[in-house]
This record gives sequence, C-alpha cells and structure tokens, in this order.
Amino acid sequence: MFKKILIANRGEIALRIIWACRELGIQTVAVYSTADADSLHVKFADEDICIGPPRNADSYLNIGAVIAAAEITDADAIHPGYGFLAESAHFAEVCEACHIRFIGPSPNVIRLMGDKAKARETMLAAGVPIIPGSRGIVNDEKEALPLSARIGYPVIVKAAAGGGGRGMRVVNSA
Amino acid sequence: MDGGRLDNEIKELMEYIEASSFVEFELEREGFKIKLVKRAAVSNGPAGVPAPAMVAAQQVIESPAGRPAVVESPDLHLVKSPIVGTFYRAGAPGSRSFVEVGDKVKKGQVLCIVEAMKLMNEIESDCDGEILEALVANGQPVEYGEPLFKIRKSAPA
Repeated sequence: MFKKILIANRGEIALRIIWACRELGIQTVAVYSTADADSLHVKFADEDICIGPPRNADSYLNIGAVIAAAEITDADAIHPGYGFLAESAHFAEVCEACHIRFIGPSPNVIRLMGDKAKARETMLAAGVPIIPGSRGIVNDEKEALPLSARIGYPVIVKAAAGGGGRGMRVVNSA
Repeated sequence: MDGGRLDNEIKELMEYIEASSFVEFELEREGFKIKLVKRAAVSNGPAGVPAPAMVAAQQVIESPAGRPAVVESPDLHLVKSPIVGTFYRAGAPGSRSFVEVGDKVKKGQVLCIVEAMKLMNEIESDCDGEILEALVANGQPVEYGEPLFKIRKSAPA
C-alpha cells in the first residue's frame, strides 16, 4: 500500500481522490497553479505544492514540475485523476523512470487504448465483444452512409482521439 | 432592504477593503450593523467549528507561495523560485555558497541552485542590489513562486 500519493489534478477530481485516500489512511499531496491557491483541494490535502503559473501547460501539464513536487514531498505514487496527464503515455513513462508509481495503465496500454480506432482493433483481435461499427476510421459520407444503413439508425460519430466527450454526434437518420 | 442588492453591496465593500490598507471596518446604522475584518489580521479565534485535524494541518503546512509576499519598501525585491525543487546555496556539497547576506550582486549573477529531476538549475538575480536575507535554508524543498532572497535594489548604474 502507498504511504503518500501526489494528486496531479485539481478541483472535484482531486477532492474525490483525497477522500478515498483518507478512508485508506494514505497521505495526500495537492499540486496547484497560482490561480488555484484558494481551491478546496489545496485546503484538504495533507500537503500542497505550488507548481506553476495559471496556464495549464506551465502547471498541471508541466511534467517536470509535477515530478519535482513528488520528489520533494517523498510521494511514492502519482494519481493523475482524469484529463490533464491521465492519458499521457509519456508521463507514465517518466514516472516509471523516476521510480514513482503511476496510478493508471502502463504506457503501452495508454498508447494502445488512447486512439479509439486502434482500441477497437485491439479488442477485436483479443476476442473482446464490441458493438457494431466501422472497421477503422470512416473518411467521408460515401463510406458513412451505407455503413450506417447496415448498422441501423441512430448511430454515433466519434473522434479517434477525443477527450471529455467532445466531437461526438448522434445521427438519427440519413 | 433587498437581499440581492445588499449582497452585492457587501461584496463591493469587501473588494474595496481587500484592496485598501484597512484591516478592520465597522459600520452601524439603524437596525443594521456590519463588521469586516481582513483574514490575515484575525487571531486564532473560534471561527465556527472546523474539523480540528484539518485546521492543524493547514497551520503546519501553510503554503509560502499562497502567502502574499510582504515587501515593505519599493527598493526591496524578492527573488522567487521559478520552479519546484530542492534549494541549494552552493554548487556542490562543502563548497562556498554562491552569495552571502551583505554581498552586492549584479543582475544575471547566480544566487543559488534549485534541483529538480536531478537537474541543477542555476537561479540568477533579476536585479542589481545587496542581499539582505536568505529566506530558505540549504537543502529545503521550494515551490513555484516561493521567495528565496530579499534584495535591496541599487540604483541602476
């Protein structure tokens, strides 16, 4: 069991992890940008480290700053929550190299499953049942129309590299 | 009085006092009294009944980055850490500190090192002046924006 976990996220996501850690008796470290100094996750964590200025790229997505914060607080694992660095295979690799456990899938699995088209192929190859859909990426209407007719409406159009549900569209008829 | 309007007025008042140098504000009118005290000035009185463990934790690890940097006079300057890491006064264990209190420094001169991910990052002074105070002990962890040195700025040559 981990003794101390650094949470590389903020707000409600970080709070949920803090509560879970409390129940398990694990110490927590919050990280924050200067814009979030008064946030609840900073108040409720056992320790907190300011990791950068307001821009996400300079703080919550700044791998060097997050790892350095884990090093100076002696955290033995990092929980990325969801969003931010949660699906970064590179970040998972850096954690591994720095002997900090990344709480999430291995870098290989992130790479495999992050891309939705590749994820479908992988599941198919492994014999996991998948819902009806295209084999690979659909490029244009000409491909989409006959395929949708075969599957039956309504269908949903999804991006291969989506995030947070953006780019999904339900189509009710041709 | 209309509740929404009152809320807005109090909010405005709070913002005004926050920006001013007042520590305490009190106003009394017929059937209405308001007292505002800035948080920094409040002694540890019994404010509600917060979970004691949480209060204790907050007092111990009060975030230096969140604390407003107090600079008493315009010629005083704080050199802040641009990164998270471990603070070192010298380039190697046992060697001399880059700067001592009382030293005159030039803009661009190395003041200390902040180590992050095994990389030694030299932190340079961002102004000319005299080192008045070293605010962090050797080997201590520092956050982004944490004040490292207090410098009395000298007039640009």
